[in-house]
Amino acid sequence: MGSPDLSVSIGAIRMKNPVMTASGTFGFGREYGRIFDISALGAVVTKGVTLEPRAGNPPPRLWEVPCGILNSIGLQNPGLEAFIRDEAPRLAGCGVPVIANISGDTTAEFCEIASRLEEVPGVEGLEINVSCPNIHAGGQPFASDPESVYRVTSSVRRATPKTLIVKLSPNVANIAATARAAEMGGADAVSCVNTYLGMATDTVRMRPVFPRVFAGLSGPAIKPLALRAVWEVAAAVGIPVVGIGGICSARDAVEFFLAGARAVAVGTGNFISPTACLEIVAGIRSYLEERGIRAVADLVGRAQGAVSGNAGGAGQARSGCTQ
Amino acid sequence: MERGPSDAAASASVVLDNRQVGPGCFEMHLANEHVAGCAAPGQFVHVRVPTATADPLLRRPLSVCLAEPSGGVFTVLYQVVGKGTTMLSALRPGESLDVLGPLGRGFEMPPSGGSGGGRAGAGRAAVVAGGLGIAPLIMLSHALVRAKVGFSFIVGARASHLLVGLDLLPPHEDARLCQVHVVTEDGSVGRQGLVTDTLGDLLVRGDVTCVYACGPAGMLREVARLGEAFRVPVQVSLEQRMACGLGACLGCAVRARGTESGEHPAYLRVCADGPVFRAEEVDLDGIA
Ligand SMILES: Cc1cc2nc3c(=O)[nH]c(=O)nc-3n(C[C@H](O)[C@H](O)[C@H](O)COP(=O)(O)OP(=O)(O)OC[C@H]3O[C@@H](n4cnc5c(N)ncnc54)[C@H](O)[C@@H]3O)c2cc1C
Ligand SMILES: Cc1cc2nc3c(=O)[nH]c(=O)nc-3n(C[C@H](O)[C@H](O)[C@H](O)COP(=O)(O)O)c2cc1C
Ligand code: FES
Repeated sequence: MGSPDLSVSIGAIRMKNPVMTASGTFGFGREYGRIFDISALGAVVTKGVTLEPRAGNPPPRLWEVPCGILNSIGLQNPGLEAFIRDEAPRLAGCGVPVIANISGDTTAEFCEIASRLEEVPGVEGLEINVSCPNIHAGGQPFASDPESVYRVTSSVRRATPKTLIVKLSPNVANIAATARAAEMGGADAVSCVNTYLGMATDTVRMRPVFPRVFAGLSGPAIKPLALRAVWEVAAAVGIPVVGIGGICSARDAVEFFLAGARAVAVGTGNFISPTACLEIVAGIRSYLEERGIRAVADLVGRAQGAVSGNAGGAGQARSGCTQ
Repeated sequence: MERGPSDAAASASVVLDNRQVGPGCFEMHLANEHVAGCAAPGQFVHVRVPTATADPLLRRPLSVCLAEPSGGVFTVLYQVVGKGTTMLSALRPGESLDVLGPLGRGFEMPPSGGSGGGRAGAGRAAVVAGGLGIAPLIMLSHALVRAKVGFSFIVGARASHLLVGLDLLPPHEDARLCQVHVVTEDGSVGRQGLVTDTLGDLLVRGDVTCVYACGPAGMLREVARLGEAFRVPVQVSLEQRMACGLGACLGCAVRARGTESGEHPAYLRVCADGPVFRAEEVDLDGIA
């Protein structure tokens, strides 16, 4: 048997392996590019880009908790124009598919970003961050109802022919319903999940650690939650799912493939080992080799099939009382 | 001296020695040719605390306190304050530590003093260390001696037993080149008072041409205020909680000075734009 086939496709993006970077943990690839050749990645997902530059939140922006971190960065980014001018051309020459993560306050803003990125070479796909607040819905995140997710997805779909990924928020009652809304809106894939809302309190000063009170939880602490979300979403949609949440090792990645993810993204894991993505790619290869499995695609959703009575069915069949 | 970021790499360092040098204070020597060979004064290493679990999760930043390129050894000086540093203090010689670095922008050196710089009164640097803030300033002092820049090293702590790292300062047989001023709040050794009192006196005498400082936020604010009042440039080394340590995650932000709401960029990254800043670049009122 030859070397296993690690390649996967997400929409029109052909990735040499199923490991990408999670938005906001890898900047625009400059910093980690000093440490390793980023062309070894399946894809690079950029920091969230907005129409106008954003300064971000006042510090503190990070707070470590057991096995995880809370972050409140506030989408600090140089804005679309600077991204197109200063980052995209360099990234285009890196030999790796680039997916621009985009954020907006309104559907119109998402569409404007998408159409302005249409002509930008090197940017092969867009990942819409629907966790950000929709100012036309009283500041509720787009993700909080499937109708808004459908609306923003279908509008951006009309604005760009590029591969469109909708990044799901786990802070919703029914993530499978949001995923179906994204699929109906024309998304090529969904990525799952963004950070879980949490908080921390400073017991010395007796007030919330973060000026904005709530912050996003990431890292190994969320892995079991994210895995469940991927399971439910993969059971609910036909489009590819990108698994995200606490992935730090090849074994973590394989868990997500088996639950139904076609690819994975590594976020917090990069902070612990800057070469985490490379180690994960190598580990996936060994996992397949050791078991004589021909392709990583053969792992996708295998655990779903292993659950009797769940073949092709909804994950919620199993989500009854667990106590 | 170049201030640009140097190439970082994560590599294994072997612990040569890890001994207690004060209450909760440890000095650790690590074998790592890369860090020892290219660290500049003011840079730091991002250390992965060895643990079988994911707790503590993030790396911990520690200043490079001394680096000996020829021996391939560097030194860190650290205080046990929490989970990560407690685990570091338990490391024994021979154990290995994953170290990323050297990282960040270090101190900008003053123009070389040549033969005249060492002469008292000819214009000197003042180096101000509060508590464990001495760590990056030790390496700076060695560089100043090598560059023949005269300086006053003002080091302070609450009490004498909390003064650490003094033995790591360059041997200063030439008192005109390196003059050490010890200050304690309780007067148990050296002058009683604050390091900034001594800095103020030197500034009044008018022979300080630049100031370097690392220590608690309140001390840095006062040093910056004095520098501004006497129109002497001040460089401060700041701390902030970090995740990537490389400039990618934007987690270690400090507010830039003169950029009120909305303006961009209003924040600087301690890990990549710092940890050493010119005092006028950053809003020191906002730091904890
Ligand atoms: C560039 C740089 C260089 C440094 N160099 C040195 C050095 O040379 N020597 C040295 O001793 N230290 C140095 N530090 C500080 C050092 O990194 C921290 O003390 C260390 O990370 C603490 O880790 P810990 O796990 O032991 O403590 P933790 O368990 O993380 O916390 C330690 C203490 O801080 C409190 N704390 C936790 N989070 C925060 C927060 N966000 N803000 C304020 N307080 C908090 C906790 O309650 C606890 O009391 C440096 C920091 C930076 C940024
Ligand atoms: C510091 C930081 C910044 C992030 N910024 C963004 C962002 O700009 N856009 C976005 O969609 N997700 C952002 N995320 C979420 C991550 O992409 C990812 O979904 C989340 O961290 C969970 O994965 P992990 O556990 O592997 O980190 C950010 C996460 C972190 C930790
Ligand atoms: S710690 Fe990530 S940018 Fe500084």
